[in-house]
Amino acid sequence: MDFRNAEKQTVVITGIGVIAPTGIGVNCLLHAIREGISSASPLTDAAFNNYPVKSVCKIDQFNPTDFLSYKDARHMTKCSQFGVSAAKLAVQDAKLDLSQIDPSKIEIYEGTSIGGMDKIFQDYDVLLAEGYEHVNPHTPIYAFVGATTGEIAITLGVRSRSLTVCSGSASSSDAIGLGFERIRTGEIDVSIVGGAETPIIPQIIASFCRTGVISLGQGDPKKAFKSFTADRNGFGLGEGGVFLILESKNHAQRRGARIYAEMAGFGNSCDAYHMITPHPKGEGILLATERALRSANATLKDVDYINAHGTGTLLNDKYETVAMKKTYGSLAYKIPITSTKPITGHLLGACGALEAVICVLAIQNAMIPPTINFENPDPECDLDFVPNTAREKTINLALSYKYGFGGKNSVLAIRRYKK
Amino acid sequence: MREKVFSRLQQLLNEFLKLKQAANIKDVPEISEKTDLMDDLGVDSIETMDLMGIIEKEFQIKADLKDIMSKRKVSDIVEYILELQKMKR
Repeated sequence: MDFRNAEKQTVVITGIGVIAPTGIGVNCLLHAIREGISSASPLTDAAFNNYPVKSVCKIDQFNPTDFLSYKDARHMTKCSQFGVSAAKLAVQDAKLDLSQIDPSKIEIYEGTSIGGMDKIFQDYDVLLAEGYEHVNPHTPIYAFVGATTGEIAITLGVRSRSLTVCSGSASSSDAIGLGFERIRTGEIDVSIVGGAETPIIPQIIASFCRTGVISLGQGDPKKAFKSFTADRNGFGLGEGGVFLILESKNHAQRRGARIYAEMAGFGNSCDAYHMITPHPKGEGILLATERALRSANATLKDVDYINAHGTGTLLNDKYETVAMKKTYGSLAYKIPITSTKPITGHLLGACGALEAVICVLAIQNAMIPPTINFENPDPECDLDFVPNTAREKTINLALSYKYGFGGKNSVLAIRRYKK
Repeated sequence: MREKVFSRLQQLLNEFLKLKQAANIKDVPEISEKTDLMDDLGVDSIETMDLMGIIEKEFQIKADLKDIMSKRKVSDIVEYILELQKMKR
C-alpha cells in the first residue's frame, strides 16, 4: 500500500483500563479526582522500617488471578501483572473483538521506566546470599524492561508490533503518542497503549530519598503530597497500570463503539540540558507544545485545561511554571492548570497514561480536577492551579504534560468528541 | 500405591509452585491427575528440569529428561514414577 498521500485519520479513545492507587476501574479514579481524595497511605512494609519515607500511593486490593490465569500470572513481575490486567480491562471496556481485527492493523505500545526492576533486585539478594545456583533462571526474561509488552501480546494474541518505550516519566505519554501517530497516518486501525510501573521498592525509594525528589510523606498521608505550593517537598510514589484503546474514528464507528474523546495531537522533545533538572527557560516544553498543537490543528487559545507534570519537586514546579508562561504568555494565567499527582501519587513511567485518562474524564464530566493540599501558594508558582476543589468547566481541548529524566518532554492533546 | 504416589507428587508440586510463583499470588490451584503442567500451571522446560531433580530425590528413581519432558499431565508423571519404581525392584 502507498501511504504517502493517505488522508490523516481522526483518532478516538474507545476503551480505558485502570489499575491505580485510587482503585481498580475508571469510576474509582473519577471519584478521587472529582472529590479531591488522596490515595496515599502509610508505608508499612517491614522492608522500609528504617526509611524516612512514611507514605506512598500503593495498590492494596489487587489480586492478579482476578484478571489473569494462574499459569500466566505466576511468572510475571507485578509490573507486568498490572500492565496486562489493565490492557485486558481496556479491551473489555472497548468491547473490542480482537479476532475481528486485521492482525496487521493492531499494535501495542507501553511505557515504563523501570519495568521489573524489583524482581531483579530480589534475585540479586539471592545471588549474594545463596550463590548462583539459586538464582531464578527466569528473572532476565520476565523482568527486563520490555517484558510487559511481550506478555500483553501473548495474552491478547496481537502479533503485528509490541514495543516498550522508556523515556522516564514521559514513557507512557510517548507510548500513547506513538500509537496515536500510527493510526493517524493510516498504517493501523487500533493501538493498545498505556503504561505500568511498580517503583515502591527499597532501592528506588532509597535513591529518590538521596536525590531529594521524593516526599517523605510524614504526618497525615492524605495531606502529605503537594504540588506548586511553597511547602512542596517532592512527590509521593505511586504504582499501577493504565491502558487505553485508540482507534481510527472510521474503525470505531464501523463497529458501533462508544467514543470517550478524540486523541487529537502529540508532540515531544528533549531538553538536551541535564539528566534531572528541567531546562530553566522551558525551551523543550515550548517545542513539545508547538508540535502537539500543530498535530492537533489547534492554537494556544484553544487550550481549556492543562494537566501538568507537577511532581511537587522544587525545581520541576518552578520551571514548569516558567515554561507555561514562556509557552502561553498572558494566556498562562487564564488556563486552569492542575497537578493530580497529590491524589494519585507519581506512577513514574505510567503517569502519562493515568493522567491522559484523567484528561478524558475531565472532558467527559466538564470538570477540572483540583490540585489538592494546596494551602501555601508559592510566589514563583503564580498560575491558576485550581486549589483543593474541582471546578465545573466545559473542556474542548486538554493538554497533558509529562517530563522524564534526561530532559524528555511529552505532550498529548485530547479533544472533546463531537459526532 | 498409585494413590500414595499421586498424593506425594501433588504435595511436591504444591510446594514447588508456591516457591516459584509471584510473591503476590497466595494460592496454588487444585492439582488433580488431569492437571496439565504446562497449560494449567505454566511449568516450562527450565522448571521441568528442577522438578525432575525433586522427583528423583523423593521417589529414589533415575528419570530420563526426554521422557519427563514428554509427560504433560500429572497422571502421566504418576505412571512414569510407578514404572521406574517397578523396574528398580
